[in-house]
Formats: sequence, structure tokens, C-alpha cells
Amino acid sequence: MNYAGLAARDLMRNPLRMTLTILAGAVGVTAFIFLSTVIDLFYYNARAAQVDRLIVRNKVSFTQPLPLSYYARIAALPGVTAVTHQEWFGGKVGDSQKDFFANFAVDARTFLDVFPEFVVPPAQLAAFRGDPCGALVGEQLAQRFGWKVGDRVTLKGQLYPGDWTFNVHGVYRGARPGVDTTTLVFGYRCLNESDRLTEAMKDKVGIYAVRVDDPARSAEVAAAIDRLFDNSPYPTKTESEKAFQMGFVAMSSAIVTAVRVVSSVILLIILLVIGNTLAMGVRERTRDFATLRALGFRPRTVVGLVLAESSFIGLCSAALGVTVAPVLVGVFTKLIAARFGPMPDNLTRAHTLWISALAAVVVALLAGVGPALRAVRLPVAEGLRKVA
Amino acid sequence: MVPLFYNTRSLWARRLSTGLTVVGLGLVVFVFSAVLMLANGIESALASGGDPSNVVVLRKGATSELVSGVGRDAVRVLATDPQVASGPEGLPLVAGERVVLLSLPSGRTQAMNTSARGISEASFEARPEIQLISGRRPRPGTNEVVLGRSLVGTSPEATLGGELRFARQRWPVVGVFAARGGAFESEVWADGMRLGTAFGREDFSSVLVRLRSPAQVDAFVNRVAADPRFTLEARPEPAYWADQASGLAAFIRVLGLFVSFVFSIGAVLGAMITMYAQVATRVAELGMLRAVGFRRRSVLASVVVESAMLGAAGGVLGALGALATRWIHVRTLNFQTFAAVSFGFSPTPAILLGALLFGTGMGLLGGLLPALRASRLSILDALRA
Amino acid sequence: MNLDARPAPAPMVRLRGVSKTYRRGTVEVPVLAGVDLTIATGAFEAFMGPSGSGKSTLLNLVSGLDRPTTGVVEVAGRDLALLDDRELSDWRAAHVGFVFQLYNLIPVLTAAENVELPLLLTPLSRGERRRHVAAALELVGLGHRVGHRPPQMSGGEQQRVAIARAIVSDPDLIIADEPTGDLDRKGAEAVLDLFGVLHRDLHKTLVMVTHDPHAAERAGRVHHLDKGVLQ
Repeated sequence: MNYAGLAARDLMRNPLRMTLTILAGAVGVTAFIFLSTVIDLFYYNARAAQVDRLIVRNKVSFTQPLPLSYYARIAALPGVTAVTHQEWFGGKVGDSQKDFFANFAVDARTFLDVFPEFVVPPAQLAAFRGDPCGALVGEQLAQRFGWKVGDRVTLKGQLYPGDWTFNVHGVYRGARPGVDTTTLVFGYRCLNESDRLTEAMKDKVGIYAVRVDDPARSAEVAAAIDRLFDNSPYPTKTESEKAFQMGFVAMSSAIVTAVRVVSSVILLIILLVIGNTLAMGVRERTRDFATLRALGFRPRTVVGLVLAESSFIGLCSAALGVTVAPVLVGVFTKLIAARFGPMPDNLTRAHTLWISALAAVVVALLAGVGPALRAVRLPVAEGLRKVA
Repeated sequence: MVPLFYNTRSLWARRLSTGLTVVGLGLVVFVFSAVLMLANGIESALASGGDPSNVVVLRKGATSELVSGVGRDAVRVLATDPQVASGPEGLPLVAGERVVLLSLPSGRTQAMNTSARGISEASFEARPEIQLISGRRPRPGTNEVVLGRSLVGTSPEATLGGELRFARQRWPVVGVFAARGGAFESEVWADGMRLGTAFGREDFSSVLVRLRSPAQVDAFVNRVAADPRFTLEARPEPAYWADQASGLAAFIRVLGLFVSFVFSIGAVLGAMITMYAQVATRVAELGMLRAVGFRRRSVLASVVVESAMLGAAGGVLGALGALATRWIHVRTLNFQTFAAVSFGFSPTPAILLGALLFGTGMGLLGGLLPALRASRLSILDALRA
Repeated sequence: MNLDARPAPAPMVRLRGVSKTYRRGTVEVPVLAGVDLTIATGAFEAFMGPSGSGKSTLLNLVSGLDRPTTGVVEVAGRDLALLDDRELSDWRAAHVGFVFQLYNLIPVLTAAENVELPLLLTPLSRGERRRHVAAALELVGLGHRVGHRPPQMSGGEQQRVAIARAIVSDPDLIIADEPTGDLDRKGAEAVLDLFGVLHRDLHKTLVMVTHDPHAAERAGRVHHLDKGVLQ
């Protein structure tokens, strides 16, 4: 036997309590991972944003349009390597809000130049470009509705009244994990050349997305674009894609903060549960610890025993939580997908799991500090006589 | 029945464990009730917008004013409906309105999307819930605006006497209004024509129609749907606003209940740990109770009751904590409308009662197994321990 | 174990003017008052007296578990006041073996593991530790119960395991606090016989506090304590 053996034996003193504590800890870790993933969900688009991409929108708000004529003027600026534009279409397949998914009118020729993370087989891409009312759908979205190449999809317009039918020419995948494949894009010409649009609505786009040759110069290019249109009827605001997405996160910051607060509450609950168990264990072992001290064991050995117990609980809880949490996240995304559209797969990041496991162990150790100190504070002579 | 003071004294004797458990249970109840209060707050902020006599007319298929468009002639046609209420000067209470999204500066560099409503003459008359709390209404044909009271202070110039800047124009704030806590309180109201010009919008987003009485609403909705002159859709105003909030409220509610559920498992385990320890340290006492003649059932009940006390204490603590959040006000983006909404935590008696029951229930559940163990003890073994 | 006996001239324990006062709330309770005492190396001495006479306090002072309010405690030529808490721990590990009234065995450890505990504080290897443990358990006649845990043993057996634990690291001084207080006649006799072996054959210094006249009989000398004063 050695110190580790001694600690191990101590752990099995009350197997039921140990198991309950580890389960409670695991529940906490699971909830923590779950909430961290919910926060990640808010930052999802911002994290996927490319550094070399700028978003140009109307200065008043992103729902106000920009003229199509800006395209050539932005493309001519030095430092700009590609430009494309898109327009939020907001069509629905059914009548309810339930089947919601994002759909845009995009410039078929340039879309993939600026968004190379969407990968489409060349033949499908050529077909998409050749048909004014061609559409590309994301892998996940295609799966959800069972769409395949050659299908015709009809969307009910909101901003653009009436039914709009598009020909699905391709299914795109993400070039890397984390790319959103839950949207539908279709050719801008289908919209712009339709006689259903009023004169005022024609030749208007939602935003421009711009790629720059050197990410370090993106602020400079953004300023140049805004200067170009400063005195026009449609002044612009250009920012990096990340800043654009972070703008939405900032507007939801109250919710993100609330979720963060709840996450800290979880850590507190884990602290209480593990602390409670350790405190009970220490109280019951007062005489054992006093005996060890009388035999000549130093206080730090006793502290070490208690902390070993707490870190064991922390590690087990973390291991269990890390295993269970991704399943739980899956259930949750299914629950909300009905309302908010499909969620990307594999939301739980390895990074989140590591952080949560670390947090669990640290919290467990913290929970052990008080009981450990109590274990060595009691005078030895007094502890020896304590009947548990 | 074992007297209750035996349980209270036992809990008191192990104050630390008892305290830790109660605080743990309390935190869970706190999250549970705070979340319900928040979802309730969102719903009452948005859903309470709207009057039962009013209908909102949108383009067919549009889910919100922001994506809707209604031609100007539709307003004239709708105004001829016989059931439309009349204002003080015989003016029909039909208001074509334009809703646009502004981005107002907020804090340092952040911007907050805010709905601006371009109003017509009848807009105020048709909405009795709107009360000016300071200043006056904007004069027609000017850039004057009035603010919903939730907006005051959210942007540097968003206050009576301030001057907003958007769409390359200046918009002096001449008044602040309340709307019984409803969604309008998060809006900027300006003259419809001026706003339309500034944003290049000729047609209306929606038409608000006030009917003579709520009873006429259904018939009017049907008349609009059947009218071949336009492709419009009328919806009762309260239903329209309830819908605008449904996503956000559902998100908060699903998230919150999910979290509460997961938490409660942890808390039940915590209560169980404490109650097992209570039973373990009192084996001799419980054996004595059985020896002097208390039945198994009484011992079982005693332990369960003790655990329920823990839970109820946690419930009270959590509910009190949740009540304290009443003073917190939240402003966030409604991702259905892309505009910010303000709301608070609004408690209801049902939520508070629910919190107490939830806490007590967790205690009961946690005490069940330990109680079973206590009642199964053999008297002789227990006395010898 | 060091079995060769050398008559040592220096006393094992020397107390000079030792007093101890406890605080109970605001009241000061004197427990020991000016105790002077010398215990020779290799002696077996017993302390008797009514409850509250200060016997246990005296034992705690001699074994370095407690410090006197005034006076000097010297054990094996060391002034214990000069050692800090950590040094005192190490000193106890090297020089003192304990036998308690309630045995104070760790319930989750086997007999062998309980006996092995003090050896964890020595640089002995695993194999050496196992040999020492086996020898100590053999000595107390429990060679056949190495794998048993305390709850599976009788009180007398548990106390014999505790004695094995007290001698396994070969300390100079063995402190016994009411070693027979919780045992029946038979168990008590076995424990006292063992003390005789430790005293006569292993030449340990034994200091024992007891209520039991039979136990006190076995000691070479019996001190009586009353109200903190040595009679």
C-alpha cells in the first residue's frame, strides 16, 4: 500500500454517496457544456466569418437596400479581388413559421468567388449559372426536405409577393466543418427580371460581400468603400464579416449574459454539492485523520487525502459529463429546430469540452479546500476521541 | 407521527450540510422561476401590444410588418368598410403605417436595431393604449418623433429634447409614450410621409384598422380575405403581436425549462446525499423511535417530511431570489423581427406557487430512497449501532 | 527491530513544572498543576485517577499531541517546545507508538494496511514494509487475520492490531490511553500480556493511563493523579 492506495480506499468508504456526488457533478458538467454550446450558437456565424471578407450594407440599417450600380464601383477599388451581392428573400415553403430556413437571391456568377467555403460540383455550378431561376441548396437543408438535383422548389414570398419556383441545380457542401449548409440560394436575375417587381424595387440588392487581397488592409478598403458613397442617397457602412455578425450577437447580449450567469450558477451548485459531500466525509473521518496525525503524518498529507478525493470526484464528473453532454445538445437542437430552422451538426466543440472538464476539476478542488482545512485544524488530541 | 420539531432540530444540528443543500436547491428554483418570469415578461411585453378591436392588415403571406407591403389605395378601400370605427371628427380609424428598421448607436460602438413606425393621422386615435407620458405628439409633416418609453436612455440622444440622426436627417424627440408595457414601447414613431421619403418607401407596410367592437373582428378578417380587389390578409392585432414574440419566448422557455430540468436532477441528487447522511448518522435514534413503538410508516414519513422541508426552504429561497430580478430590465434582439425589444421579469402567483412546489417536489424525491432505507432498518441492528 | 538491550542512563521522559489550563468559554480550567515527573528508559509506568484528573492531558503532553501552558516536557532528551508542528509530526513518527481506548483503526483498511500506515513515513521499501508488518502481526498473534478489516474483528483483536501498529516502526516510547477500557476480561488480559512482552523482551518504555486496577498491576510503578496534581 502507498498514499495512493490509502486515498483509493478512502474513496470507497461510502460508495453510495460517492456515486451520487459524481452523478450530481456530472449533471452539472453536462448543463455547463450545454449552456456553453448555446452561447456558441450565438457566435456561430461570427466564428465562421472570414477575415478577408467585408460586408457592405446600407448605413441606415441592413434591411434598407443598396443600388445594383455599386457593384462595378466597388469592384474597381484597389485591394478588392472579388465582389458579390445578395438579397434576403425571406420565402417560406409552407404557411407557418415552422418550416423556416434562410434563403437569398445571389449573384450566380460571383457568389462562389467570395464564398469559397461552399463547394459545388463544377457541372452543377455551370447548370446553376446557366439558369436565371436556378438554385443551390445546402446539404443539410436538402436532407431535411428531401430535395435533390432536378427538383423544382416553390417558395411563398413575403417581401416579394407571390409564389416563386426555382430549379435545384446543385447541392453544396461545406469546404470545412462548421460551414452552414442550411440555406437555399437562387439567381438574382430570377428576382430582378421578374415583372412582379415595381420600378422602385428593381436593381436593388441587400448587401455586398467583398474579398480583399490582404486582410491587414481590410479596414483601409472598408473606409475607401464608405467614402465612395458618402454623399450619395444610399450611404454605406462597411465592416468585416466578423464585425457584421458580432453586431447581431451584441444585440442579443442580454440573453448571452443571462446564459453566462446561469453557467456560473451551475458551477456554484457543483461546488455546493461536492463541498457538502466532502464536508460530511471529513466530519465522519475526524478520528481517522486525528489518528493519522498522531502517528506522525503531516497536515499536508491529510489535506492531500481530502483533495485527492475531491479531484477524483471532479475528474469522474467531468468524464461522465463530457460523454453525455453532446447527446443532450443533440436533443435540444432537435427541439428548437422545428421553430428556428435546422441547426448545424456537431455543435459541441472539443474546446468547450476541455474547458468544462477543467472547470469541473478546479471547482471540485475548490470545494475540497474548506473541508481539508477543517480536517487539519481540529487539535489532534481532541479528534482522537471523537466518535463519528 | 413523529413530531416535526424532531426534524427541524435534526436539520439544525447539521446546519452546514442543511445550509449547503438548501442553497443548492434554492439556486435551482431560482433559475426555474427566473426563466418562467422572463418568458412571461417577453410575452407580456410583446403580446400585450394590440387592442382587441384592432386588426392589422398585411400583404398575404407576410409574417411581420417589416416584410410586408400594402398599396396606398388599399387604405382608401379598407376605410369604406361599414364596421370601421370613427374618430372624434368623424375620421375613419384606418392608419396606413410604414415600419422600417433603424440602427441607433448604443453604448460605445454597438448599434441597436430599432423599429421606427411612420404613422398617419389615425394612428394615435386607433390605439387607446398609447398614452403620452411627457411632451406632445409629433406635428404632421415634420421630422418630430416620439419615443416608446423603453427606448429612453438606450441611445445617447434618445430622450425628450434630444435629436436622433438617421437616414441623413435630424429627428427631434418631442415626446415619450407608454403602451401598457407592450411592444410599441420599443418603437420610435415619426410622421409616415417624412419617414417614407427618408427611406424611399412609397407604399405602406401595414394598415391598422379599428373596428366598432371586438365582435366584428372575425367577420372583417373574412371580408378582407375574400375581397378580390387586393391580396391582403387581416389579423387581430393582439394575435399579430403574440406571434411576433412567439419565437423568442419559446426559445427562452425551452432553454430555461431544459436547464431547470437538468439542474433539478443535480439538486435531487444533492438532497439525496444529505438525507442519506441524516439517516446514517441517526440510525440509533431511528432504531429507538421504532423500539418505543413508532411504526415503519411513521419513520418513513418523518424522513420524507424532513427532506420536503429542505426542498420547501430551497423553494422559498429561490422564489425570493427570483422576485428580486423584478428590478432588472432586459433589452435584446428579437430574431423574428430583427428589432430590439425591452422586457422585464414578470412574476405571477402561479410561477411563485410553481417554484415552491418545484422545490418541495425535489426535496420529496431526494428523500424517498433514504426514507425507505430508514424504515427498513432492523430495530436490533439500529440500536446496536 | 532493535532487540539488543542497552541500559540507557538518561530518562525517557522528564516533566518539570508542567501546568496546563484549558479555556472553556471565558472560564479558565486548570487541568495539570506543576507536575514534575521522570520516567526511566525501559520503564512500564501506569497513571490512575478519576475522570478529569488530567491523565489524558498528561499523556497528550508526553506524546507531543499537545503543548503545556507552562513548564518543560523532555522526551528522549528532546525539549518538545523547540519543535514546530511539522517537526513534531516527524518526531512522533520516529519515536512514539500509540494505543488508544477505541483502537482508532481506519475502518476501510485491512489489518495489514493499518499496521503498515506508520511505515509510509519511513524510507523503507515495499518488501521491507511487508516483512515488518508480518513480523508485528505475528508478534501480536494475528498473523492469520492480515486481510481482515476492523469491523470484521473483535475488540480484543482490533486492539492487538493497534498494538502491532504501535510497534511496527520500532519507536522508543509507547503511549497507551485506557487500552483495556473497551475490552472484556479475556481481551484485556491478552493486551496486557502483550504489553509485558513489549516491556520485558523488547525493552520499550511504556506509559499507560488506565482505570483498570488489573491493568495497573502489570506496570512497574503506578502514579495517582488527582485534580491535576501527582500524588
